[in-house]
Amino acid sequence: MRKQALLIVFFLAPALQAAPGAWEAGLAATVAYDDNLPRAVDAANDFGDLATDLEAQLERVTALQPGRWLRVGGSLQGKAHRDTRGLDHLGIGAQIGLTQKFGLGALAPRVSLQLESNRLQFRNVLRDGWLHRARLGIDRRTSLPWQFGGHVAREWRRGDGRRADVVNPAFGTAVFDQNNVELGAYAQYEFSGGARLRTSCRYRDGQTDSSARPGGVLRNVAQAITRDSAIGQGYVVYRVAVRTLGCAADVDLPLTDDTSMGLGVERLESNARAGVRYERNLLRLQITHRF
Amino acid sequence: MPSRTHTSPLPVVLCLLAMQLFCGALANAGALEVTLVDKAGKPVADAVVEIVSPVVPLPANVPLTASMDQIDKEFVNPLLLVVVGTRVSFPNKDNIHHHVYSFSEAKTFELPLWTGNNTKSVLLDKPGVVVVGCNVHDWMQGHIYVAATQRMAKSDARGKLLIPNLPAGGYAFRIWHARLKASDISKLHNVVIEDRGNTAYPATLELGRDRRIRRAPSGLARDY
Repeated sequence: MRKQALLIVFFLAPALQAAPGAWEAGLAATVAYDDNLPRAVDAANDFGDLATDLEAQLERVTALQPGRWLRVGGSLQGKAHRDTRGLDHLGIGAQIGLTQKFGLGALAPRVSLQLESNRLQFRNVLRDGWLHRARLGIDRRTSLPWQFGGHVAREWRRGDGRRADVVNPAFGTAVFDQNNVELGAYAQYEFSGGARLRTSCRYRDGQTDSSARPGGVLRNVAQAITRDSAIGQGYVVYRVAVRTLGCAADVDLPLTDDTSMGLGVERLESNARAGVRYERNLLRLQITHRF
Repeated sequence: MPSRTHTSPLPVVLCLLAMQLFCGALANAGALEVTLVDKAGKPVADAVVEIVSPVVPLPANVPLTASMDQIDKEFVNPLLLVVVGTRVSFPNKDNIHHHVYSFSEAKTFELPLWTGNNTKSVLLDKPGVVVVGCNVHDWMQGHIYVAATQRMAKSDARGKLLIPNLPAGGYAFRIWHARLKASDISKLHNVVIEDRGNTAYPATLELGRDRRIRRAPSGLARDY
């Protein structure tokens, strides 16, 4: 896999360099609080933690024809938790995206298709694996202040699978083999000073990993189980099929022409079979800079 | 027999007379000095004043070419004043593509995807305001004020502008600003220019909100 990735980079980079286009680079620093990091279904197992995330992106944007752009790039991400160090990770990813704008001007609708592949390496190797995403989005500005959009996304996560960590061999090593489909929509208002207020909702149907100490209701709905030393001693992690509804509100302020600061909250409610459910509340503060 | 060239004194006399008339006219010319503030009393920059009456024909030496550069993903001179019949070019000084367009009634055009010095220019053959944008970078916006007369000027950061060399008499002018209501733009302002010095004309403009698409990026964060 590593060899294939190197070959792709070797052949793609000169081709992109030769094509007329522009390099775009960005850096985002985020501090986020998750009040239910293990995605636990009961108070005995849930806890919150603060994480710092740094992500750098480099893209080559090539105009294929008027109103159509190809974006090819890569990203590097690092996330560190205040307490739950086992979930600290590094990610490296490659993205390719095609955007089509239908018409001229800022109010013209645009459709974008993005494919990405990310390799995630955790401090605790249990969650190491690949994350692949395909996303089709539409964005439409109906007036200078108002913008609306939606997306449908498919996500595949593939864990490396370490049989040594399996608690019960009957469940296999597939805890971190997860598939998800997501539908989302947003409405955004941009104030005259450039501040943006965005509300969004998303519905996600698929699988997630939920951690708890043994003996809870998760075992009844689990599709796979593994010991989870990343979350804490005595925890096990279950793969659970869930349907999640999330609603978020974000405020984003421009600090300079190329820097912005965002503050956002999101509430997620997930429901599994047999009445098993959990909730998460997320809070984040983010600084984004474009070079 | 050698020929003699005889020079009539008439052209010389006419020339001297014309110079005297010209200098006399300038001596009797004044200037319109407009000071523009908004409702909060702050100076209004980038407003245009054009004298619409009396109409004087454009002089023969009026420049009929102009350019609006693009540097660092912005129009360098985002408010350009030209007269009808001017050809405007849009040189791209960035090393990326721009795609300049306008939907305006005064001129609709599109210069898709070019880099460097584009040789194409756009003939602005109707008076009015041409709003130009870039289809690649939505925040880029410029205005070209196409005047029917050369008697125009734009306000500076202090909200001041000066239209010189106006013979004494009555004038009507319009004020334009990108954030001014259409009814206020069509309003005629009347002024009597004195035969020397600057005739001051203060005006308060009711500007709409500064609606433009911001340039700053949105968060890179995906779903979190």
